[in-house]
Amino acid sequence: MIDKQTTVENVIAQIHDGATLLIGGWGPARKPMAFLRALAKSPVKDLTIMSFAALDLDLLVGLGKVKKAIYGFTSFEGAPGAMVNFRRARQEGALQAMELSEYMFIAGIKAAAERLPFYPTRSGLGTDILTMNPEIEVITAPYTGEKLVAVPALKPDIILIHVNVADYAGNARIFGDCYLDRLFVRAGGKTFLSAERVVPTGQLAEDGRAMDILGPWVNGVVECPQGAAPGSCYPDYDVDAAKLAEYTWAAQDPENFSAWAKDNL
Amino acid sequence: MEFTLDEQIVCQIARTFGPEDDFVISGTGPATFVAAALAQRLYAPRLAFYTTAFGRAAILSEVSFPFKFGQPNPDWVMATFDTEEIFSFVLGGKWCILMQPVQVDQYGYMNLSQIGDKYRPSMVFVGSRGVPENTVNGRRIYYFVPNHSKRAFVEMVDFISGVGYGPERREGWIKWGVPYRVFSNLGIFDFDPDTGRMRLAGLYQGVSLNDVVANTGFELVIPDPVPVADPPTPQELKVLRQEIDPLATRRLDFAKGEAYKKILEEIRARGGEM
Repeated sequence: MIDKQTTVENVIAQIHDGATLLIGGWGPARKPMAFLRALAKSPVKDLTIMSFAALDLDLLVGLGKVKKAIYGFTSFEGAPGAMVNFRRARQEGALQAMELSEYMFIAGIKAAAERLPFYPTRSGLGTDILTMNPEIEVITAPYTGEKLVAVPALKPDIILIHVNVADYAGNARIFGDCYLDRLFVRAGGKTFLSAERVVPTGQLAEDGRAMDILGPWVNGVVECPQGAAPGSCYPDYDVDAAKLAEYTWAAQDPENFSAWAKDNL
Repeated sequence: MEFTLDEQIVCQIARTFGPEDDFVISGTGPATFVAAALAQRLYAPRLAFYTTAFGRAAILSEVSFPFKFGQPNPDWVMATFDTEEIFSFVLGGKWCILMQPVQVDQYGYMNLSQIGDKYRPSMVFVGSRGVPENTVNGRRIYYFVPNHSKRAFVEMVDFISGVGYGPERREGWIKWGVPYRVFSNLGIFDFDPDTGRMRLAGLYQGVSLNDVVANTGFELVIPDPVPVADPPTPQELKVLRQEIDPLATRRLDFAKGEAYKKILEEIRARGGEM
């Protein structure tokens, strides 16, 4: 019987200095915060973080873990939080920032998932995303002569996703919006799931409906109740508005932030 | 019949939609949500109103305000779906969006990303997000600026998130997603087809041409005679006030600080959850 259950510690032990992480979820929704809290307490540094970002990126930037951020947006999506650490790092020029559009980000992950060097799209044409990221090439379509953006493959070493329920073999169900997580697990790195619940293999298949995440993509599963808090995990819990507001307040003072974040998140 | 500026604006936005419009419409904030719902009710019944519902993205067949974010009346929900599908709509030309730029310039380029130096910006916003795909693929693109000022209407944006009427379009390699209209709290604007420059398309009742010119950071194309927006019709006002937005949530977009809080308290006091 396949058993991919592991521990948070074992997952974090696989993340080395300079690693590239792709983080699932969207804004404050269904972020793998149990993994990220443990990562925040570890000595790992110089990470590249790829995310539709909110608390995940802001926390790691605030604790000095991030060398480069690759993002489709940075937003708490209406929840009472703000990207205080991230904004400060951008304003001070202390962070390599690769701002992409939402679809350019997706296109880069698609390229990685299909083991292609790039993915063509019109997104980004005529924008400053191209002037800010001169490594992104504009190509001419072979059949029509159209100009297209060739988004380079965004290849993560480690993919961290939080789900509602997973089984021992890594099959998983997401009860709310899957966002881009079905794509992310295929991006070619080691994929680890944190799950509100872990159940015996076979149980999830009983209802006969298609699975959201398939076990063969998954390297490890950890049961982490409340694993996305203080973000949301529909329908289990909503964002913890008080905690996010407190976080945002604490982030105003970089001196005390790291101590606060390690104790409180 | 008397009417307010916010009523004029949402009615004017709603009127730009028609019975052939069969696509998803996405607002950003109370006034554009209300305008989209009014359009759907009065002029364009095939529009699908985008929001989030019960943990997923959703399209609604009819909607009225206010409702708690993410929890609309289940009877309105036509379908729920994963956010991934939004990109299929955008790339396939089935997505119309009313966006709030940080800056918009004389050729319709827009900025949602940052102000100041590109590598050490003085202000950082959410990022270009879906603007780059919308301004090359979107079905119809609107910009909504509730605080018309020289800070928002600039000669050149500090960061191009969305493509306007520049060389890319003239050369023909960007075919879709052209900015269609700009609605501000001072006027309605479109783009001169020959020069691509922003042009006054309608002055609201109670706003002077000088208000517009004095608060715009570049030279607008001003047609002669100056176009004036038609007032809301009695039917528009009736549906807006009695059915779509009886607590006037649309006002929230035009208020800041204490004024915003006051409107929110008033909405809550009258039983409205947002």
